[in-house]
Order: sequence, then C-alpha cells, then structure tokens
Amino acid sequence: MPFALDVAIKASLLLLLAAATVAVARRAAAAERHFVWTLALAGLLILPVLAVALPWRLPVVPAPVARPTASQPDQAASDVPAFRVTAPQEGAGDARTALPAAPRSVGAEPASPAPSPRSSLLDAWSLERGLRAVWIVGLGLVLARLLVGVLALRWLLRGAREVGDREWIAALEAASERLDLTAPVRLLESPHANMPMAFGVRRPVVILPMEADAWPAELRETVLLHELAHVRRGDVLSNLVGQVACAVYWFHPLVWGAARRLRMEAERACDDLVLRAGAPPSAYAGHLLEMAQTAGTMRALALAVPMAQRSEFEGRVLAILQPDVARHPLKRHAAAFGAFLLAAVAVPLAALGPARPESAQAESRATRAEVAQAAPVAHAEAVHAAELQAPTANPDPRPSPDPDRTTSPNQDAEQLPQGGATATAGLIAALADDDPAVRLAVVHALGERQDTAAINALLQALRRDPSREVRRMAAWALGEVEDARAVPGLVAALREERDVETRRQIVWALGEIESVDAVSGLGAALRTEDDPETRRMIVWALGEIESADAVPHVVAVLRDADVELRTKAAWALGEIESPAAVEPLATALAQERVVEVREMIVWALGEIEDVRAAPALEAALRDTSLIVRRKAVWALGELDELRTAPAGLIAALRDADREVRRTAAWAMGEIQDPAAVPGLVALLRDADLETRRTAVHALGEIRGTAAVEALVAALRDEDPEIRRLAAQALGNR
Amino acid sequence: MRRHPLDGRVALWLLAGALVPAGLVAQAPRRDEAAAATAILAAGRGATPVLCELAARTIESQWGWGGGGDIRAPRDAAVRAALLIANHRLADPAAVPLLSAALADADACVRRLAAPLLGRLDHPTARAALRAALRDESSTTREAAAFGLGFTEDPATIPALLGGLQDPVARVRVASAWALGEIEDPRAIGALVRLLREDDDAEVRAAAAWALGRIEG
Repeated sequence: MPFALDVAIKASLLLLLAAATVAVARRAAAAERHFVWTLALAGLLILPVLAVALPWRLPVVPAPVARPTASQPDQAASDVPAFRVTAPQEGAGDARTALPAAPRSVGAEPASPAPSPRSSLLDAWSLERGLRAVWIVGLGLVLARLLVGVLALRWLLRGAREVGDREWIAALEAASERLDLTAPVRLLESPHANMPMAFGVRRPVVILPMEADAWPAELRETVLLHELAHVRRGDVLSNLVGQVACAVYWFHPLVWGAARRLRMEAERACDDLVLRAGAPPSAYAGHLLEMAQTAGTMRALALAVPMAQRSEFEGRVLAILQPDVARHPLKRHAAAFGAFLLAAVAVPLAALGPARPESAQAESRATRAEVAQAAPVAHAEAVHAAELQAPTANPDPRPSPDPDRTTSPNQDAEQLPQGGATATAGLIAALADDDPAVRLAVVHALGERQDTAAINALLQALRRDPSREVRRMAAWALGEVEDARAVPGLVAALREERDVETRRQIVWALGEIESVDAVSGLGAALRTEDDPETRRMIVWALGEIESADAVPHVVAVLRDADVELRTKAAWALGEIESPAAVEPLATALAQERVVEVREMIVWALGEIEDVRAAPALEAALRDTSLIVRRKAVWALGELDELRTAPAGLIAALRDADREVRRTAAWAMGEIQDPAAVPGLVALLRDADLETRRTAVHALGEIRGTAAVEALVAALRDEDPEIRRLAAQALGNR
Repeated sequence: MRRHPLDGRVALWLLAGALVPAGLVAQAPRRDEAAAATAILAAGRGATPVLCELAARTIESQWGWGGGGDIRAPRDAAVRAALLIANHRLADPAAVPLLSAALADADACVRRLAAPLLGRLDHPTARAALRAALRDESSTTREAAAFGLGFTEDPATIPALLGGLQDPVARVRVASAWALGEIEDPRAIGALVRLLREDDDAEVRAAAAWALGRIEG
C-alpha cells in the first residue's frame, strides 16, 4: 500500500476516534473537547513520523501474496517444510536431475563492477513520484497561506505601539490575576487591527484596535479576560498544530473539519474561562456581539486568535447564555489520561501494516490444523481416504528447478488458441530429440500443460521410448491430462511394461482418470502382477474408479496374504458402495484376524449402507477391539431401512466406552426403534453432555408415546440444556 | 502558579502511553532489510553447494519453520540465515545496491542467494538492476541476473529475457528460459519453441521444454 494512502487511512481512524470521543463525552466542558481535538491533530502530525521511525510492524491485513499457497498442498499440510532436495519417491525417479536446474553457476569469473540502478519512467515508481509532487504543491499552498497570516501579523505590529494608559494596565493586571496568569503579556494597539486578538507563544501579545480607548471599562475587562484566556490556555500553539496538520493533510477533508472544530472549541473554552472569572453572561454575550459586528469581513489570521468570528457566532452566544453548561477548565488528570490514550492509540496505529505473506500462510496452516482436529473421528471416511489416497501424491515428479511451485490443475478447460497449439506442437516435435534429458523435460511439460492434443504422442512415448524415466514421466503426464481416451493405451502399456516403477505410475494414471474402461484391464493386471505395492495401487485405482464392475476383482483379494492389500480392498469396496460386496465383506469380517482390516471392513459395510450387513455388524459389536466396536455401532446407524434396533446395539447404550454410548445414541435416532427408549432415558443421566444431548435428540426422532413421555419427563430435568433440547424435540414432533 | 495543561506530568504520561504499546509491538519482526540481506549473503559465502541450494530454496519459497524458535535441524549458518529471512519479503530499495553488487560476486553461493533476494524485492529499482546486470560482461553475472528476473513475476522483463535466450553462454540461456517459464507469459512461447528446436545445448533445450510446460495457453 502506498505510504500516503496508509497514513491517510490511519489519520481518518484517529480523527473518527476523536469525533467519537467528543460525541460520547457530550457533557464535557469545551476545554476538554478542545483538548481531545488538539491531541488528535497532534497525533496526525506524529503519525507519519512514527510510521517511518517505528522499527516494528503490526501485521493486520494480509498483503497480496504473489503465489497462492494453495498450489502447494502437500507442503502446506505438513508443518516441517519439505525442501525436496531429495528426489521424490515413486515414479519420479531421477527425472529432476536431467532438467534445467536453477542456474547455480560455479565457474568463478572476476567480478565486474555492479551496475547502477536505473529506473524506468513507465513503471509505478513514476506514479508515486507524481503523487508526491502534487502533495508537495498542496502543502506549499497551505503553508503559503500560513505565511501570509504571519506577514499580516507583522504588518499589524508595525504600526502598533505599547498601550501606556494606566487604566488599561491596571485592567490587564487585574485580568491576569483573575486568570492565574503569571507570564507577562504585552498590550499593544494598532491602527490596522479591527478587533482585539492574541498571539505569540513565548512572548504573548494582545493587540487592540485604536478605538479600544473609547471602550467602557466593562468592555475592556471582558476583552482582556477573553484574550488573556487564550494566552493562558496556549491556544496559539494548539491553533498552530491544527494549521500545520491542515497543511500536511491538505487533501483530507476530515482534517480541515477537525481544525475548524479546534478553533471553535478554543473560543468556547475561553468564553467559559471568562464566565468563570465572574463576567455576567448577558453582558459578555452583548460584548461579543459588538465585536462581531465591528469585525465585518475581516478574515481570521491564521496564527492569531481573534476574539469573534461570525461563522461560529450563534452557537457561541447560545453556549454563553445557557445556564447548565459545564464550564470547568481542563483538569490535570484528564489531560494526562488523554495524553496516555493518544500515545496508546497512535503508536500501534502507526505500526499497523499489511501482514506479510507468512502470517497469511501461518493462518491457513492454523486453520487447516483446526479443521483436521475438528473432523469427527467417528467417521472413518476421512481418515481412510487420506491414508489410501497417499499414492496419488507420490507420482508427481516435479522435475522443475523450482519444485515448490506447480501450476494449478484444471487448466485444460481453456486453451489459448494459437500460443497453446504452437507450444504443444513444438513440444511434441521435440519428443524426437536425441537427448533423453530433453525428452524427459518435454514429456513433463506436456503433462503440465494438460493438453489433450498430446495424448497420442504421450502414449507413443510411454510405449516406445527407450528411457524408462521418460516412460515413467509419460505415464505421469497422462494421469495429469486425465482423459479417458488414454485408457486403452495405458492398459496396453501396463501389460507390456517391464519396469515396475513405470507400471505403478501407469496404475496411478488410471486411478486419476477414473474411467470404467480401465476396470477389466486393471483386474487382469491384479491377477498377474507380482509386485505387492503395484497390486495395492491397482486396488486403490479400482476404488477410485468406483465402478460396481470392479467388485469381483477386489473381492478376490479380500483373503490375500498381504494385510495391506486386504485393507485397501476393504477400503475400495467401501468407496464403490456396491451391495454386491456385502456378503463377501461379511464373510471376510468373520474370518479376519487383523484388527485394522476388520475395522476397514466394518467401515466399508457402513458406507455401503445395505441392511443385509446388520447380522455381521451386530457380531462385530462383540469384537475384542474397541475400535472395531465403535465403528460397528456407527455402521449400524448408517444402514438403510434398519428399523429394529439389534439387541447388541441397545446394550451398547450401556457400554463402558463413552464414544460407543454416544454413537449408539446417535444410531438409535437413525433407526428410530421405540425399544431403545429406556436405554436412551438412562443416557439422560450420562456424565457426558454431548451424549445426553444426542440421547434427547434420538428420543425426539423416535415415534410412540414412550418417547413422548420420556421427553416430557426430561422437561423437568435439572440440566437446563436438556430441558431446552427436550422442549425443542417436542416442538418438532 | 498554575501552568499549562501540557506540562511535565502530561509529557510523562505521553511517554508511558507510547511505551506500553511499543512493548507489545516490539515482538513483531524487525525490518532492517539491508542488514538482513547482508547477513544472509555473508552466511552464504563459501557454503557447500548443497547447503547453498537449501538456503536458496528457502529464500525462493518463503517457507518458515512455523515457530521460529524451533530451528534445530540446520547447523549451518547459511541455512539459518535463509530461515531467518524466509519469512521476509524484502521491500526496501536500500538493499538494492548491495544485492546487485552481490550478483557480480566471485562466490557462486553469494550470486545464487542474491538473485532471488533481488528478484523478490518488490521495487522497480531492483528490476532495473537485474536488467542492467543481464548486459554485464561476466556470464555468471548475466546468469544470476536472468535467474533473479524469474522471481520478479513482472512481464515487463520479458524483452530483456528474450535477449537472454540469444546469449552465447548456454547457462545464461538456461536461466533465461527458466525465468520465462516462471513469468508464464504466452508471448515467450514462440521464442521458446524455436530454442527447443534449434539450440545445440541439450540442457538449454530441456529448459525450454520445461518453460513451455509452465506457460499456460
């Protein structure tokens, strides 16, 4: 953000704060309001100085981040930054070594002199300069106006002479005394002055018009009181602060308004001082009126404080005549507190700045962590999906010299007509390059571009290229292009390929494309494949494709010797969600020895939601593993059309494990069997609030009088939360 | 004698009011950018290639360690310095002369670190310095300059980089192609395709292919 804009916004904030303070402190005396405005305007002058001088920044608004962190999903997910200096695993191989590494030249040449910076006229720099020039011109104009004021004062003083009249001097002394003013004040009269005014900071002067000699004693007294009040209050100084603030912020209308308020409040505060010194309000108002009439068209001199100005006159007179207005001067502790507040506001305000990218990043990282923590553990889905989709992350070869940045996916939709065609055609032509490293880079680039026009060329490379790195990369690229037209070629290549890493990469690509056409090919490969990891990936790919055609292939490995393969098979069946898998899964559940596999089978049955899984799941309620039991309770609640709560599930409402009880209560709300009512009523006494809530909710779902009676009884529960939920549940019926 | 309200006691309160928020804010990172740049360049001088690469990647990616106090793993000064600056996008043109001098440094790691620092320094004078360095007599300086321009994300640097594709030294062409791939402007496609077809150096052709993969459209 440009500095000027930054400061202008902060200035507005400060002034609005001052305005709010004044508005809130309605009953405050004019002196106090004046002090608030003085502080605010002084704060405005300090603000840019602080903003430059403060060595810290308080990041608030995220600054625009050049590269969205979203394009680095795997890095953002882990807290420890991966530098990826080591080659990525799976399928990437040594691809990156062959690619244009970020230039790190080693050949040391004698250093040449540093080039001098040269700024272009066309860039943003010049705009900044232009704005600065405009600002300086404005500043100069306002300062010139101030200077005119000073010159006018000089001119006033030139013809002035000291007042020697005894009566005047006595009146001056008397007024000083009444106002507690000890500093000596010079009293002058000038032929050019048409109204009394005070100025000077260190050697205060009150200047009177020549006709003042003709004034009655009463008028003299009030005039002197008023002008000395200005001196006493230091209004010349605060007025100067306001004028300078106007000069610096000449473009800012709020500042002009604030300066005007400042002058107004100064006058009123002086009026208050005069009245407190004993002048009768009506007489004083009359004198003011007289002054204002003589002042005529005279413009206020910037640096002096004239006694009366027409524009603000009415309000002043009214304020003078009003009996119940607070007129006390500024109290010491109020001033001190105000000063404290100003500093406490201005310093952090000046330090505010746009947040650096890393704080945005940290934020997103934090929210990600929060989301991860908030994810319900009861639902196995997220956990398993994340675990099983791990293979997808691997094949990304990232051979770039700067592997941190990959282009975002989903860019195949729009293709610039000419440049795109040229680039893809040029790359395809370069697939004939003699150097395998060049071909590798070309294949990678085609994968990055995700251009379907490259499918045939990539399939050619996959099946014909002598370098297996290139073949591997071609498989990756086809997975990136993600087009079903590549499937037959990929399946054929899977059959032919002898390099195991390339086969895995092909399987990965088929899992990415998610086309049903790949199912039979993958099934055949699953039967012939020897490599355990490739077999797991095949099952993963079949799960990703989510086609019921894959069920026989996956069921065939449910009893495989490889535990991990069995787990993935169960996961894949849960993804496919075909009822055809229920029986095989139920059989496998009864015979499975490994807890993790049983857990995954139970999860899959819950996902399939077929009611025929109920007996197997009820048996799983008696599983030795708590994890399996928990999941079985959840899975039973998921089953469609299960309207009778199994006895084991009703018993689970009394389970020793809190999560089992809670999930059972939730399941009862899904099954809606009145037989569960007694068990749910008992749960209303549960130690866990969430369980109690879930039980009330379940009672609300169940039809029949028993549930209604239970809810009515719960209306008298000692826990207000339960009473509220019960009332809500009854109301919803 | 009664004095004006803005007396010594008020000044004391002003000071106190300034100090309290100052203390709260003081924990925010310092922004002495030229000093930070100096520190990282000094730390990188003479670093082994692997460590230098590690440090440079950290600068390029702007990753932090999250905590800051948690820097245990890297024992090397270059890496530590990189980690310190990783969270820090330079914006102060005061660092430009320092960094552009470092582009011409005899030490490879100093050049390697200076290029992304300068490229990411968000100020027109930094880009001007890089463009000037791309016309330097020394090919290592030109290479570092081209490399640094890749971090500017500024399409205005494309003409200079297209010139870099014609450089007699292959590594400068590699760096220029890489930088054009980073800037991702389709206007570079024609020149890159030509480079991919015609360049004698395999590394340059590979770089051109890589860049074509980066550029959308």
